[in-house]
Amino acid sequence: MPKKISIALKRGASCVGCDIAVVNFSEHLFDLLKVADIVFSPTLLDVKYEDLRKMPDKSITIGLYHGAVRNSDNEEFAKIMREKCQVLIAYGACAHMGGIPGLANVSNKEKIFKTVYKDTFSTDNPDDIVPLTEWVDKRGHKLTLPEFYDEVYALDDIVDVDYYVPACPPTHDMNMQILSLINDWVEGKRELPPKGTVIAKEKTLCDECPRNPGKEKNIKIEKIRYITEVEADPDKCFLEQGILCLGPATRAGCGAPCIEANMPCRGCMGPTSIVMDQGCSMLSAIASILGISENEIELSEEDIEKFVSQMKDPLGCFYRFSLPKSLLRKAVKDREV
Amino acid sequence: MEILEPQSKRVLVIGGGVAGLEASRNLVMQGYNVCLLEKEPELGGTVKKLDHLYPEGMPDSHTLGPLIGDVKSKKNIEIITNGKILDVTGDIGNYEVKIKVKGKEKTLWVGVIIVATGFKEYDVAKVTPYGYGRYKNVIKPLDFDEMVSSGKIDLKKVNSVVIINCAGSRDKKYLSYCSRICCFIGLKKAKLIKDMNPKTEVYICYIDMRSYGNLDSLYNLLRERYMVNFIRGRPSNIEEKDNKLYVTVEDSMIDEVLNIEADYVILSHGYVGDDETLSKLNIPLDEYDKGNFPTTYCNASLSIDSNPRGIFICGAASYPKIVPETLSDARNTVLSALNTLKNIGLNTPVSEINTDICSQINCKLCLSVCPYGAIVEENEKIKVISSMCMGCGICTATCPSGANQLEGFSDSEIYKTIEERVKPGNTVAFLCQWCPYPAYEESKNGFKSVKVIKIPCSGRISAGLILKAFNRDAKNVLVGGCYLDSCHYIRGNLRAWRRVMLTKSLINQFGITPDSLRIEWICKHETDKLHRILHEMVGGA
Repeated sequence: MPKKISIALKRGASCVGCDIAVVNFSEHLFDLLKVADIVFSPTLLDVKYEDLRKMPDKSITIGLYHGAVRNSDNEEFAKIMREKCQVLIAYGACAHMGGIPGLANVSNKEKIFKTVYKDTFSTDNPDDIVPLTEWVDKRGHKLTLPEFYDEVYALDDIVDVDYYVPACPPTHDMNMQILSLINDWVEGKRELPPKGTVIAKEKTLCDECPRNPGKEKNIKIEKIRYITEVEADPDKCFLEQGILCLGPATRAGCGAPCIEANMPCRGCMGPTSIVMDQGCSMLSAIASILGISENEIELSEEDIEKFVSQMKDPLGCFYRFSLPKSLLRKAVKDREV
Repeated sequence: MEILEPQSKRVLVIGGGVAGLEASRNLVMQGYNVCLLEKEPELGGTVKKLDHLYPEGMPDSHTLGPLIGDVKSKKNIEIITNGKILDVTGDIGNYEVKIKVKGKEKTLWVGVIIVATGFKEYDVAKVTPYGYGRYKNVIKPLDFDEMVSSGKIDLKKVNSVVIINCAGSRDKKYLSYCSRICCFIGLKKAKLIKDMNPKTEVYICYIDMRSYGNLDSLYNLLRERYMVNFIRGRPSNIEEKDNKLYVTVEDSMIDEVLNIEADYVILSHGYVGDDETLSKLNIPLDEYDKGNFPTTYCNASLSIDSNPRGIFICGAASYPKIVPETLSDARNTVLSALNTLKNIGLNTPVSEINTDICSQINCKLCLSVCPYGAIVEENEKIKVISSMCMGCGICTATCPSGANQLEGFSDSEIYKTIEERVKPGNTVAFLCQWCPYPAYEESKNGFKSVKVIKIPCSGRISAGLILKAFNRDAKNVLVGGCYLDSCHYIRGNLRAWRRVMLTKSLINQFGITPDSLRIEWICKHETDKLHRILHEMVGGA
């Protein structure tokens, strides 16, 4: 029997959903454990950070890092994981593209602290105390906290990443795909895929969408509808219903569970391999089919503005999971609000 | 994808007569390279054979002589005489023309063909009662010109000439149609004879005098001042006796049968199309008794903007024309050909769909926005019909999967241009190639911080390109399109408008003021407007 490989799991700025996703290997977790030892996982094992620091470089075969990089602690351990692991995988949408925490890039540290520690209705903070990175008490004891960054980063903004497993969170089937890759590799049946591979499919989500091919010959949107406002027809393409669905701009591979649950795609799988910016691709597509009609030439600027203003919060809709990986990455800092 | 041969913008003009010469001259003046092919040893065509032109002058000194001189002085014309077309293959932009010159075969590569092969004389010997071929003094107008100028006929010694208009024309037995110009030719010969020798009796037999337009002044002149005898009737027979010809004709004006003695009879016959070249180009022709002219083809190419086949017919090759009509027709044909020629380069890029990425029939976004219906569903796949694709890039800007990319204007290519050229603080102007870009070239404004990126249509603009410019710290972005009702791709500017407006609200969320992104409609001549807009963008805070 070949020598067992070792696996480490480390969490960055994450909701811990990806830890649960690992549990979602379900009974196949035992299959994984047949070929691999989990040597570091603060969620599953009683380990300390010091344990990881003390491991020799490249002693861990595969590292799964999930969560975005939001503070100095995330960055430090992203770098340590890179040093200790032969193969580093960005696991889940946050490590892949910044994910939901990445939406904080519309703001910055100062504004976030102001909102969280001062302005919220339930906050009682008359002395305007905000977290500091270092504090020494009267007796000389030094306390430290990780530094909160101005910007949220995806894992590969900080360290070199070998593979990406997209989705929020990765599904059971995607876990199985990783498992078979690892199994085959350990047993010497096949090499690992080329570096930089996103472990999912190449086509867009529409390819595996159960509602397609659609009923209409052409797609056009007269009125944008929000899934929160209407009861969606469970058999009809969302875009045909005027409901925003990021499927056409999103990589397939998740099996379209959201669509099955009558929820439009929100784009957690990220863009296809040739698109640089998922959000603005979908924005262009939606804008293009907005209000196509025979006499559209007669529309005035006000009419166009009316169409466009139906689209509330384009940044939030189109960049829900990928803002730190967008072309602009973050909002301009000195913006006057 | 198949790799196309480089497309040619060279033009082949077949026929070195007045039409072909004038077309070649105009094409060269527009900067195109021309090959002029003539089957005879010399240029000049039918007009060269004429003795006189109307109202005045000889071909050598008027119209033809100067035209040949001008054409021969141009650098970009290759003149091939004694050349014969063997075979034509290929399509617009890529014609392969095999010719034979003095026994040697040669191949020409051209993008567009202009056919100026002129007409042929109707074989008037078929009109047997007139005895052409049987009586040596029954002649055709061109023979007459040749005989006069070579001195075979001394008009001073000629007492009487009968000119028969409609010789075989408008007659179901021969040519059932009117050849337009033969009445005029008959009149012209009468004037020539009278000018040389006013004492010669000249008779013109006609059915209807169709001296259209200002040619009627010639008819009136001959009637009132030259004392030419006009006989309304179609001669029934000609006989020869003692070297004299006797023409039998019933003059329906005076209801009397005349028998006119004549030294010469000129048969002003009709004309038929030159089928030899046209049929090699697979151009459909009328039936022979209807003239053998390419009427259907010509009418079809008149009814639409451009000629889909890149073969244009001009001058008398389409139907008989007099010289001034031929010249203006040649100029018009060049204009239509220019439209096609300009499109040859632009037609080259077509949209392509990367089938590894595209989800095929499940997402129909590109299909929904194509103004030409060039993207279709076929066997459960989405396909671009490249011959219908006009290269606007509207679909490329729409496709959210990146699978649809326009050759030469793909996302990655434009991103690279932006990456290389845009410096922080620049104003980036994406200008449509049709109106705003020429306006920019015309204005030659010297804003150093303006970086202009030419796009096929404003409809190619996507939020990605705009954001890429801001990603390079551009201060402002301008999208310039044609006016709303004059998009060269029908609705590209309308798509661009919506995208830009939505991108404005997006960049607002990114903290970039929406005013730093503008979309403007600029006409070709509005250089001042473009200058003002750029000035505002460069100068504004």
